[in-house]
Amino acid sequence: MSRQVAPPRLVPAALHQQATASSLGLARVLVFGTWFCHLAVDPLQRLSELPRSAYEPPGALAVVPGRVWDVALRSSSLLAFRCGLLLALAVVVLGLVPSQVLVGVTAAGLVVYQGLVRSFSGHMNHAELALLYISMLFVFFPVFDGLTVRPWRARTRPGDRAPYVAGMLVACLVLSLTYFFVGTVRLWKGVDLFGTSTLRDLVGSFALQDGRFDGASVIPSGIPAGILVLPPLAFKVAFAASTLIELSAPLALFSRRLRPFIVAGLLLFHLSILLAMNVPFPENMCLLALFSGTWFHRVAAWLDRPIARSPDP
Amino acid sequence: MLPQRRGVVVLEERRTAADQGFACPTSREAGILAGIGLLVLVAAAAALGRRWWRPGLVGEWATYMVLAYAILSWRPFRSAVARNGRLQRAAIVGCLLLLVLGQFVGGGRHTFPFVRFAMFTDQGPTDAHYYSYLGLTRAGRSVQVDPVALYPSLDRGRFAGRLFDSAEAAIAGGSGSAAGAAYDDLLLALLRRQNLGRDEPLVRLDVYLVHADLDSPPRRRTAVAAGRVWSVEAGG
Repeated sequence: MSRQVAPPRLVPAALHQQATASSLGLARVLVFGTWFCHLAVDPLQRLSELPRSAYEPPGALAVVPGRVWDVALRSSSLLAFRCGLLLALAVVVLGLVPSQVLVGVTAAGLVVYQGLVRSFSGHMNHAELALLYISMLFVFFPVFDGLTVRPWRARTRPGDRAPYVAGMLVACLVLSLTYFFVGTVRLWKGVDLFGTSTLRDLVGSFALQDGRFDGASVIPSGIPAGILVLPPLAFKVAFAASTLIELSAPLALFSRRLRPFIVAGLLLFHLSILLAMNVPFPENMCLLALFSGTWFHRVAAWLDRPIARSPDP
Repeated sequence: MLPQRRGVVVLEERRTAADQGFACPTSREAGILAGIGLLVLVAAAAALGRRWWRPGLVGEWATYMVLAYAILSWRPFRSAVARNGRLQRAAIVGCLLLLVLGQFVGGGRHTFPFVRFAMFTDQGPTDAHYYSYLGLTRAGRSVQVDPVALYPSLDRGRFAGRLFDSAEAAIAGGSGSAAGAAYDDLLLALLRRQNLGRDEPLVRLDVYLVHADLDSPPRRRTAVAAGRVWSVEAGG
């Protein structure tokens, strides 16, 4: 007597299980393209005008001898560095020279760039750091297998999508960790702040600092001042909700159902910080596209279509 | 069978439930995770010293360990990483380890680019306390100077933080001190940049320390307690 075996239950594939060479190629364009736009509008060479006494290189950059910085901080050196880095970013985005070494050199240049701006900083802002970490990770993944201007066939991996899946997943993981870290620290160190007026005071302080000062009075900045009409309870709820969104960021990896809500929540979170505190996070907002999963692969496949159809040499 | 051609995506691909869920890591994997976790804790203890230790830090560590265990148990991630080469696997592990080390040890600037991610974790002052910059033209007109607009590379609190620290050090040290001279240089750089291409250049830059009570939120013009604490003259 034969027994019918029940077929295995099928469920939608998890995030980025459908990733292809085109998907990782699009992620490369997104990550390094964001850097390109960021650096294109950043007049980095102006930093040469600031006194050398204000320059304190952080971390790994502190081992570079002072004489090197004397030369590197000249206006011509900074302009040359900026142009060179923009050129390298353009080449990586377009995939003109599909070399992992080039990605490595570009990522190293980005670390120096971020170190330079943080050398004149009092506060260790982490706005671009998720983008920086993902750029560094892409040095080790085949980001030129898809979506390049020049067809690059030598390294395509037919049938084995593991590097593309892993590259996309790790990029999402790193991004979600940066949110999770912030939420966790607040949970363990500043949980008592939720019941206080901390967020409302911060918005008030930003409204004044960005306002118009005449020596005796301040006209507060428009949008933050407008937000201050909200009742104190609204700020407390927003503070707790934003912490919850930060803590739930890794769930966007695991749960297909929660993902749209978490991504929408994070976008709203960044938008509210921009409006209430005038602190933009465009890099992270762009990176959240990595969580779009199926849509990301669909766009990547559509963009890569002409190359896929071109006849093999 | 997975699609093999470039550019071909099976958009509604489905997998068996057994491929997509969570599975407990092997005892060896769990052991490695526990070892790495302990290594991070020991490194943090050595780097931070006794005065930084508090129960919350251990809670933080335990939270990260729970997340690490969840990620290690997630089948799609495990299988994707396992099917990669040794270099990729080392890069993934190395990156995650550096991120966590930076989170524990990178309190300040010394571990850049891997730093501590923490925002709004301490009770701030209940009043606004900051420095504002007013320039004066030869005709006596007052012009507000926005340092971040002059140096956009240092936006999002970077330059504001540096200027605040420099002002505090200069005021504490006095006008003859090294900190005072460094602050003068910084302000003169602002003045020169502000005067570039202006028909009516500034001849002096005054720094005001501004205090404002936040009990009643500042929604319209607000009187503040402001006093001039530092000045530099153009060309001197």
